[in-house]
Amino acid sequence: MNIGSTFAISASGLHAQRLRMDLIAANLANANSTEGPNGGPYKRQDVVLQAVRPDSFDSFLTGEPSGTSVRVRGVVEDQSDPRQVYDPGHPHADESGHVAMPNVNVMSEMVDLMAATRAYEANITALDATRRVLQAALEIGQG
Amino acid sequence: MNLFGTVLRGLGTAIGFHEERHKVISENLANSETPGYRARRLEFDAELLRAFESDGTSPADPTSLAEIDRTAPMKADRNTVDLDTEMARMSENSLRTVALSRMLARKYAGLKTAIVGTR
Repeated sequence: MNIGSTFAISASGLHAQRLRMDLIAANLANANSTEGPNGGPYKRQDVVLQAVRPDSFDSFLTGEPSGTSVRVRGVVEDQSDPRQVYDPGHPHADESGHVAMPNVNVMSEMVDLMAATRAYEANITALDATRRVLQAALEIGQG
Repeated sequence: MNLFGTVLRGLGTAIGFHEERHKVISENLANSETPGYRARRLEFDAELLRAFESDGTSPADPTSLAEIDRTAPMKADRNTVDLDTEMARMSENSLRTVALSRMLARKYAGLKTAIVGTR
């Protein structure tokens, strides 16, 4: 077994899930932001994950993990329609008194957050198991 | 007597197989949320038996044995990794690896006793 690659695979999973949690936190924090960075209401963000299996010779040269690790291919904005809320006194209200609110559903964000947390924990457990296995291998020559 | 015989070689091969399986499970866990990823399995019972037989044929490279699990149910995003199954397999696999490592350590300790004696 290539020791480094197993650690790197789990680390790639940790990285991906951590980024996902960051985006969920941003979505929750901006659940009521009626003005986003590009004008208009804030748009829900999500990660695009991709399984990568690098060519073994390439991965040897670049030091990338040789197994199927996960990579964040990009961050995308959810293009679904904003929620319309009637609030005539709001500065961003249109002529009919409706305000375009972000397309963030707090419930589904919380569910996603739980899924991301579980996946993160699973990778932590995998790292810990790798460590235990290696520890046992180190003890072969002792005693 | 063949001092460094089939048991030592078999144990070493078995540890290698189990470590490779651990890597495959780690890959599945890292990709548990990747759309379209298909979980992979590494089964090596037949190959392991060959490692313990002394007919001189060496077992296959474990990296080439991992296969896509076609029986695993698919989620809505076409991902087939089941977190609970993977955790259970990993737990069993790492326990087995540690047990094999201890067995190997005992084997070496026994050899040492044979060389040095019990004084």
